[in-house]
Amino acid sequence: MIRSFKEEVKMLVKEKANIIVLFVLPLLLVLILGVEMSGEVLTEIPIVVVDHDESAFSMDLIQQFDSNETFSIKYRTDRDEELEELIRNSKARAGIIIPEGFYDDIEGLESPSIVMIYDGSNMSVSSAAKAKATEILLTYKAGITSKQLMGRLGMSYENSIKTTQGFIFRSKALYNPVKSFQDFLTPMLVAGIIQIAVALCAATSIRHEMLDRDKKKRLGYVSGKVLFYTICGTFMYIVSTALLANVLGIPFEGNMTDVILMSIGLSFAVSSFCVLISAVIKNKMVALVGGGLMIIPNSIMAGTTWPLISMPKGYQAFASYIPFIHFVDNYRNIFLKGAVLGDMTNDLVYMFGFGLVALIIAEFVVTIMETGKEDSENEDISGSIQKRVSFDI
Amino acid sequence: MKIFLEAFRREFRSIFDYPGMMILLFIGPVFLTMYFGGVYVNDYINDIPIAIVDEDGSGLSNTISSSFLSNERFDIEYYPNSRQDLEELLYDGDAHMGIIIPEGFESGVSKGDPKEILVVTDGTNIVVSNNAYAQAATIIQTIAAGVEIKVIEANGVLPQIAKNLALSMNIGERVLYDPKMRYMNYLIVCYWAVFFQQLMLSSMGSKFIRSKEYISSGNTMQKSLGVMVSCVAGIMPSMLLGLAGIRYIFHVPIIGSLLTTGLLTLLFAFAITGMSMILASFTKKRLEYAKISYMLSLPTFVLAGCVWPIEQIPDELRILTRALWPLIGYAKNVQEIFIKGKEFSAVLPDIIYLIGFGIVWLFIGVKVYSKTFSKAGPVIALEKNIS
Repeated sequence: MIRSFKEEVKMLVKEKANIIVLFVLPLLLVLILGVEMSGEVLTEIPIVVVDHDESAFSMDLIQQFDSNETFSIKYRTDRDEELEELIRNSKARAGIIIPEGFYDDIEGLESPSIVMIYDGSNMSVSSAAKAKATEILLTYKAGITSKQLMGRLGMSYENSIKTTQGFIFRSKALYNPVKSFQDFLTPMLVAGIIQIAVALCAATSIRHEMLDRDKKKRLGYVSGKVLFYTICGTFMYIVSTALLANVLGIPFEGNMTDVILMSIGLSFAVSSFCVLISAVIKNKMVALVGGGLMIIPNSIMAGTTWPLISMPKGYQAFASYIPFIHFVDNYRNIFLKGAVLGDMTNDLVYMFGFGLVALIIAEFVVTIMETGKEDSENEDISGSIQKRVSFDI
Repeated sequence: MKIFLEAFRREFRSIFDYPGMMILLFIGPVFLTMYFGGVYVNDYINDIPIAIVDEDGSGLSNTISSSFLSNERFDIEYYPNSRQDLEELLYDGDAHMGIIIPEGFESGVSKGDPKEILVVTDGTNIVVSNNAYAQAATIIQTIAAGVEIKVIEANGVLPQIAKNLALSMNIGERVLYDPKMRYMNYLIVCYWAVFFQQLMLSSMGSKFIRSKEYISSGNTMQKSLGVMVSCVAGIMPSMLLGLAGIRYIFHVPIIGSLLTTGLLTLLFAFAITGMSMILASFTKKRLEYAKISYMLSLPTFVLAGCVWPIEQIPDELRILTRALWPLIGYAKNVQEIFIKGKEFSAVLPDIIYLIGFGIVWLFIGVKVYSKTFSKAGPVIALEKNIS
């Protein structure tokens, strides 16, 4: 086992690509996400205004939008078609249409309509714009109604405000009060790329030449690889967690010991599974593609962009067997909720169980294998399907 | 031109020499599109487990509970006794949202002294949280408007006037192009573009390394373009099948110009050719090349404007991204052409960008590739002879 571990250390030093895959690219992603989402919430969303009323009243409403940090009024036009054209070509992401006679209709209790137009093609922008625009317009509407009640019914200011509110409705997002995209997305994406890095390197780690050795001496060979990649994966989770918390400023409510334990669990499960793939498939390119196909889509299956509860039943059932699913929510919860080990024991046990089963099978496969000949990466360089069918890519 | 055509024919034929390559190009795009698309096949997040703490137990609080109960978006799974119990449910992830109706709520409303309803969401998952909140807000505002009208009526105002006073103005809204705001429409086309990038990178890289002696032996630029076009020709039928799946199985609207999309796709393939050559020169082995190219999928995807809007990316990072990787000029444009019918004139700056990017990086790529493999060629041959 130690020999196998040392072999992997030597290969890491020799193969610069593995250093890039395991360490450089995951850290690069941390850096990218840190800079890219440094704003945390969307601001200065470009909007277009069509003001058919052009009263002081409508100007005031437009000013409410312009002074809000979520919006920036980039265009003004008097044609509804131009508004749509600006949104179609992504120059504006939302628009406001204020109808002609808007102020007069309010005065005459005619309930005029303001129309908000959103660009539905970009959901993150349109949902943020919709939430903030609705808030601004409802506040504005309450102000109008309050004035009407004071003017027409002689209500006091206080009573008019209470009446317009009907009842008060307040919302609170626990654990992520500003609804930061960075806090929500970054830990999951970083967790995903580290997993992919470990998987790609582990899936090509078995050197089938070693199978020329005596069968008894093979025992422990797989474990050495698994140990190596478990350590690499865990190390990267620790470093990335420290960077996310201390450099990117993502709230870290839990403790590092729990991160380490969960990271060991996931790295062990992924390493064992991918080393098993490497043991079973002699052609390294095919093993790499197999490992990649099994692991890369996990970051989507784990509910990174779309919650698990909304996926079709078949996907949900499949996802429940994936170790990453048992890791990623807990990882985010350690950050944002301060989840403790007691909350994730079952998931931790699952990941270790999964890894152990894969490790035992891999050791068994390597022990009973008869031949040590491995498909050379280039041996089919000029091969043709007529000469020799290769499954190489 | 003759060399380009010869390289194209040679590399296109070689696709059929390797079943793995055929799977990559002929099945990869359609399989990945169907597999990833399946994740988003449900339009909405329905049956979100929620909890209601009803401290009032009045008729009005029952009305509110019933409205949530009858809404398909929610599934009231818990009626906790206290706010603390509710917080525990949210912490454990058993409920994604909680509604707290305070004691004295109904009497407060009738006395004109309203108390607040609190909607608490689990902010750790913004997608669920935003969806739940938006729907909850609609339900509560509808009930609140009814209450407001009744309170005005109680001041001796006729019902119609009370209604007009309460509805001093209406807020209409239209969500263009994707009124249901489906995640499918938002993401699947971007994924499709990323699949194209990854499969093109894999197949071109494989050819650049396999055929390094041939390509680096002269006229490298024409031959590399031949490689690129052969891969595009190989992958296109499956990309189109994937597109048909997006349109007819996942019902994503495709209202824009397929011609513009085709042009962008070809230019994007051109733009990544130089990068592929540099990566091949750097790694020299297909295995190492494949590992790094797979790893590029996530960073390039998050920088392409598919998750976080391009205009919200800080300027320095946006400029650096544009200088180093061209997906930012391709993926979101394709999505917007499909969904919105984004016009050619609006895409033109990115067409120019892709051409410029492609020329600069192809020039660098050819230089680096020729330098690497024209030197390595004889060494490899010598090593083979010795062994």
